[in-house]
Amino acid sequence: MSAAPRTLAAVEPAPREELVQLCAFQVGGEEYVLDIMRIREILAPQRITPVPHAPPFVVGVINLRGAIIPVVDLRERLGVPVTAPTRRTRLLIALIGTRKVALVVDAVTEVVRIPRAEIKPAPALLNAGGPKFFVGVCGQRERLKLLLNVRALLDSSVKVPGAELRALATAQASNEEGETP
Amino acid sequence: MREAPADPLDAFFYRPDEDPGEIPDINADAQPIPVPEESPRELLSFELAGEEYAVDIHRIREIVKVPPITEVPRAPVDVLGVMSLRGEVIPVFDLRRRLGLPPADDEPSKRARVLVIDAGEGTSGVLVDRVAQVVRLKPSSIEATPQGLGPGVQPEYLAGIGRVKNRMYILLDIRATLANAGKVRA
Repeated sequence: MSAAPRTLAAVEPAPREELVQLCAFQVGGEEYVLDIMRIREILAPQRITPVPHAPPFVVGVINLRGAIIPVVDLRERLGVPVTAPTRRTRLLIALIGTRKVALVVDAVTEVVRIPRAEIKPAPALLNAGGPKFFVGVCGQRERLKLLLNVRALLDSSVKVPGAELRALATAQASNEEGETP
Repeated sequence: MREAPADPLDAFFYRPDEDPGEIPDINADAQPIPVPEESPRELLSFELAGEEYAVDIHRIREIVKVPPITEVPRAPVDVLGVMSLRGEVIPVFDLRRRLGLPPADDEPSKRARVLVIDAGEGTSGVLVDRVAQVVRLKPSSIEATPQGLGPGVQPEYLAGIGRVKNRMYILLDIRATLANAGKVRA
């Protein structure tokens, strides 16, 4: 298949050659990315006040300069072991619309700057039959990173596809990387 | 790759006007807090499972040291037992279980207390780890419980989150929390 024809959309998303910046982070040994424009702050872990009867992945709230923000442990949400905080553990303060959510991650790794066109669709295996938690994949063969749909992660009580499924899917995507599109 | 009219990837990229979905604005009055605007509320703060909670002080009839609590066979799961309050036998509820907190692993410490409360169905006691102090909260320092906590939260148990200086208290509506206590058997 030849290169995708260039079309102008009615409402303008970033043109496919435009560089996007993605903040990459690690959860349970795998790498994910979020749009860097969504990340307001990156904090060292701080005291989290638990709230009774919250769903398992909402570990509580923090007080961020006066605002009370719910904290989602991405390790719990993605079904990976929650290890004790290390020096690399961070709280990502993510914006969804005007609301903030704090996400606990094992480490923040880098900012990836790539043309939007280099983002490939997520393997269908990952999103089968449920909300689209992973909206794409980027990166080199050995270091594929999944694009997270943070809103789906927070809205849904559907379990996120587990680690084995993700490993299988990224292996599959990794193989496809080597093929000509 | 084909160009779809609406690229599903668009939702990934942040836009200030995007729809936040199920996460309402934490600072809005998602739950109306029944607080008279004028006077500060007086609350009793106490510790349970390492966190500080607070309840309206006028709900509390007495605070007593933990008396012998007689376990009742085949009692509902959230009842620790019964105690004698000057001859009156009242149930003692397990507040940790009502709130979904881990059960206490030790005997109550010397600082534990029973809060005697007049709930809808008569007098009852709740066991807490430690009573801290009376806290006066201006209505303006009380915030609605963040609803982004998802479907599991019982919003009626929580009357909001109060902040005084650097401390946060989880405000409990103790009547709502105990409203159906003692109904479910193990």
